[in-house]
Amino acid sequence: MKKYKLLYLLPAALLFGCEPEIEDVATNGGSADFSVYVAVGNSLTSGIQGESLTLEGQEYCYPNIIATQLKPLGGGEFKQPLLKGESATKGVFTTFFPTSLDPNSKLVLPSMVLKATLSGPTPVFPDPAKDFYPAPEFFENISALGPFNNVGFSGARVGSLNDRDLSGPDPDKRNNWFKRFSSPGETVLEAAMKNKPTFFSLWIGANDVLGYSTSGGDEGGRAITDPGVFRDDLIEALDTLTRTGAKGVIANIPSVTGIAYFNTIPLGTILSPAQANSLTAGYAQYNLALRNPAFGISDAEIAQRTITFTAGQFNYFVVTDPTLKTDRTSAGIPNIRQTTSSEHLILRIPQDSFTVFSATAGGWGTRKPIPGIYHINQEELFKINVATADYNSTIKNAADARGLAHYDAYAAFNVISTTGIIEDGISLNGDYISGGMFSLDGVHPSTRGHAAAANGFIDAINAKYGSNIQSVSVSNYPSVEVTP
Amino acid sequence: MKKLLLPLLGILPLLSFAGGFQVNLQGTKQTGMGHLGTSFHLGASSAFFNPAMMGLDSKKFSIEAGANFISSSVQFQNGRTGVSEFTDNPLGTPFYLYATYKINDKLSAGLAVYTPFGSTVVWGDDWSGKYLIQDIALSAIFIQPTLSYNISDKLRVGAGFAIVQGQVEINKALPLPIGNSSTVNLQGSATSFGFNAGIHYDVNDEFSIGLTHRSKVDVELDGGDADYSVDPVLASSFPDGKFSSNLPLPGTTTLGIAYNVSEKFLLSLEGSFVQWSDYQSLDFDFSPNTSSLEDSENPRKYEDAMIFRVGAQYSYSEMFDFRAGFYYDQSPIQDEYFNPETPNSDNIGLTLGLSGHIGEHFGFDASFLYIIGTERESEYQPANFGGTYASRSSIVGLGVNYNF
Repeated sequence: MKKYKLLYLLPAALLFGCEPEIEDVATNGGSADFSVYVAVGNSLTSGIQGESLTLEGQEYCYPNIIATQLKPLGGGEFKQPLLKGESATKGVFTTFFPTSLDPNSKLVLPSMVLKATLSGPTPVFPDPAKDFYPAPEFFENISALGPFNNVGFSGARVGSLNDRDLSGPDPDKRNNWFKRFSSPGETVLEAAMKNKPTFFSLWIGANDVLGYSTSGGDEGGRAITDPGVFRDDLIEALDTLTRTGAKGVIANIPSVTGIAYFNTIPLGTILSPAQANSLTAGYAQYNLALRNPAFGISDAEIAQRTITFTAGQFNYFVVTDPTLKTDRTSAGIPNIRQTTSSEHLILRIPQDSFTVFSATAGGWGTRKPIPGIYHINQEELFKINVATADYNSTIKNAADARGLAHYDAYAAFNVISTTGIIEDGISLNGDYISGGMFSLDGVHPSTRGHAAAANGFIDAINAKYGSNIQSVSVSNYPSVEVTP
Repeated sequence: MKKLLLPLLGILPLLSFAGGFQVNLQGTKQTGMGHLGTSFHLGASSAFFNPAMMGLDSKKFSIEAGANFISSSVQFQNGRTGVSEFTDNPLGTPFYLYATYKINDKLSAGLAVYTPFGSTVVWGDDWSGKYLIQDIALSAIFIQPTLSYNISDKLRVGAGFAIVQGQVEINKALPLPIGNSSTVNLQGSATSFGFNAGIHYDVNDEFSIGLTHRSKVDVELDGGDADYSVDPVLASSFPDGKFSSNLPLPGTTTLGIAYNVSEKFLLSLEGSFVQWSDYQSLDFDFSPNTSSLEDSENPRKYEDAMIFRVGAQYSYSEMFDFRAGFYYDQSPIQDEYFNPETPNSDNIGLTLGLSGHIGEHFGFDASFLYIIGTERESEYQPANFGGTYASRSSIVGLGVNYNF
């Protein structure tokens, strides 16, 4: 009340009407210079949602949200390698690209969408058999429009940041997402440093475990990065980014097994007496064979592998597990068991073959084992968790050693996927689609998820540098629309 | 994804009504002097302010009517974003009508029609708190037949029975994970009952005191309409239906004292105790329910509040009376449960008033009230929505009276 001189108020109100005046929040950049901000990272940074890049996803990516909030504190233009032409609206689906497609054809698949069907809103993937469309503008190199402040791209691992081949001529080594907006032969870090950044964000490492886990632990070319290599590559990246005195924020890797992608498909089903009896009979021979001393299977492993079904109860699905201790496939005993409550089935499991229990079709998990590529088993989980913890301690140590802000995305995403959060009347949790946090692929955040992540970055920056970047209101960001 | 379920549990946890918005504009004369009138008589409006005083009129019949023109603005500065938003409230026009009749020296009868509760707050369809409230219009009209009885020359009592017609309309956005223009419109009305009783005592020629109690009124909305606008794919989860709810209008006890400093100059003090603690929760029972549309309970946790008033009247001449007043109206809302549906902070009211008498029977009244809703930093914790609120209101009151 100290501001008001009561006697003046009545005439003042008559003359000037009656608007309250709350003082504006003072802007304060603290000890950081936000004039040139560069974002380095993977698909999260580039704005991939629903395994697709769209102009909308680019506009709502967390770096662009942060850049907008930096404007009142002297933040400059934040240039992104935006999609153009038809691909901007139709989007570009990532999975069948670039490996299975001839770049000369200049065809891409449109983004996945949420369709209205009789059974409710249903995520629909583009159909590689008929949905390809020509998007020549997507294949044009736009590096002349740069330098770009957002150099995130799909599939980036920590080792990608200094990989000259990604923008190089070898089609087997280059990355078609990065190649699009980089100069030939340029590394990601070089592309970032062309901006002469005063501030950077780095969110990398998820693909160093996620590539492995999203494909059900398929080692192939997507093995978990060696922790020593991870550390060296990360330190090299940070050395480069801070060389000219830039300050920045680095985020750690969310628990990949906390994402909807691993927690949506049920691990079992309830069976009728007829179904349970028929299945028990079907696996009787297998159960008997396990106990044959000739095969030398320990009692513990027999217990682990014995398959039982009980009518009217929840029965865990049968899965193929190549990591079982005793491999007797040569003797005709398959490497199968029932899964457990702590394991995961991935969202991309073919739905038709999965839950259907009939004599003629499907039957995965009941009549037939679910292939291991759709299942994350204990051993794989252990590797993922160990690697994530290892990378995250590397990230934290590196941030502390350089005096960088550290966003604990691991903790933040755990809260969202376990208890959920509520902000400005919107609740977000990790449930697929209904939770609002994840986009249609169950891996990448939705637009609102990006807004929540941007707020996490902003809090970390403010805490470290004494700035007062304002957060955003999740309520100002849209949720997914249904495509008719 | 054949089995994609959308158990949108808890998406309606924050539906909200009004509360905390008592409208203290029941007589232009009284409004001009801080809205006090429990302990001294100013005409037929005593039927509201203290029914015991109805017999104090010098004339047999007394009629009084008036209306107020409220222009108000609430500012909200979002605590997360620092961005300020303002309400765009329409002009509010609460009114009153009183008539009293002296049956004999002891007994008087009266009828009072007034609107002691109401709120119209329009935040807009797309503001940052749209998932809590977009706009709300609440009104409660009280119709109160009243009797008073003079026990002695100094002591009098009175009481009225109030028939309350309450109605409410609410619009708010729904935070669904699918679609971006999902809204719900809730409309309901109810008839309820209450009473208004008072006692008045002249201590001597200088001092008089008055005590009144206006009862709590439970507005039981039953069979209100709940209309949803959602993406067609979710329509089966949000069928248009009915709701019931209960909104308590709190009881108010007021003690006033009047002091005639001289023949021309009157001073008065009043304190009111408002039992807002009756408003603990706003619960909605929806029908039909679906897995996405469950009944909701929304904590309000109001606390009892006090209002302190001081006012003065100066009878300048046979023709004119001048008035001025001040009041402090405590907000019943805790900082953790401050919902923008009722953005009510501690209010400071500053008033001026004027009455004119034309001839023996006719009079007119004018008042101006300026309300400073003090700045407060509050949030509605269940929705994690908060920031800084402040408000200003300018209210012009006009009234006429006829006595014969």
